[in-house]
Amino acid sequence: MNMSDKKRQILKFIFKVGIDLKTLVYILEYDVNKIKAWFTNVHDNSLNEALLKQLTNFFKITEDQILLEKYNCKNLRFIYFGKKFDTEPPEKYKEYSYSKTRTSAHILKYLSLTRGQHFSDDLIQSFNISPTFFDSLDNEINLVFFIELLEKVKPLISQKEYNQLGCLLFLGIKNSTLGKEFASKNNYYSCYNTLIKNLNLFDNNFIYNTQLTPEKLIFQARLNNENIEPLNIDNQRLSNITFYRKTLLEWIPYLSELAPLQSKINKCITQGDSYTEYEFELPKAHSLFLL
Amino acid sequence: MFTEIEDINSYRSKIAANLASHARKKFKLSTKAVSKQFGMTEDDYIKFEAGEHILDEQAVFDILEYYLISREKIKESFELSQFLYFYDISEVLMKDSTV
Repeated sequence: MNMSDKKRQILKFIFKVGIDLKTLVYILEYDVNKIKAWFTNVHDNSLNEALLKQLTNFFKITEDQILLEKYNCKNLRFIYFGKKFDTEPPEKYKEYSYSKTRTSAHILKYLSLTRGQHFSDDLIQSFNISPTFFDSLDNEINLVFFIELLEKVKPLISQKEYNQLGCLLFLGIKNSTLGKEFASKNNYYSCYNTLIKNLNLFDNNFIYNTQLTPEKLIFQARLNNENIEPLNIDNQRLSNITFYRKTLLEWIPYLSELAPLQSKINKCITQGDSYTEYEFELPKAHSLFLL
Repeated sequence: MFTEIEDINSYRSKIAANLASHARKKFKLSTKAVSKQFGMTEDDYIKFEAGEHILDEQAVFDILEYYLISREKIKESFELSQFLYFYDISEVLMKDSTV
């Protein structure tokens, strides 16, 4: 393998794992400018050997594994971020944790697919949380995190992208057991019934009441005061969630390869009502298959 | 109505442009340097990143691989672009149905 191929493989490793410049400076003990020069100058191969050596020491893998791309990226990210962060989120996001990571993993996936893994990693690290925390969809975090995530993401993406975040649930759960259960349904009634049966896999911040018939779905979300009140969340900060949930519910049928539906909001907690109510007219089974 | 919808290639190219733009900045590379790598004029490359110059699938692959984005990830991004393309169509259909 020539020097430039070697460098390419090392760079690939660094980017796939998500190693930042600060860590490279730490593990190499070289001047930051020297490392920056190596990064930006294609013909600078001066650090190849030293980097290979230090990376193999740091991750306990062989040079061949790096050069031939024979490594498990998920495990290496776990080692890397495990050295930087606690396994649990900071107290601010950990207390009263009633949201599953399933509710936000797709947002991070969307950012990584449209802006790169580093973008999504940087965002999560800004919460002082390890990006690998979202590898499992069953980890728990509180509603403050989710509200702050939406607030932080909003200025980083276009309004159109922001509005459609709720449509993207499939990016996070498509390959999970729940995703497969949704995929096995072929009409709106059984699709939404699957959601209703599995609401506890999403969150317990709200108490959900539902009325589902083959023609209609009424979906009510009332704050679970016992779980939420200690967090002191302002009603206005919940408005992002109200809109987000509307889109999310409308796009649940997409998980069963059915066209999304429109809904109307009859009541809303941000307007002083004690709960938010979404209403859906369900089309006849099989009538609106996608594609 | 449908003539106003951009085709799937442009969605794919735009999603790649977004990824390329972020990666280039992460690598701290200039548009001048990278455009040379792809045999493009700098102006065309800048337009590509801005989503104004649509490239075909192979060209998009070449650019993203240059930025060390794996084929697997590129494929996932393309699948997402397909979703976004149909999302736009659905949005139009929904608006239509309410008229």
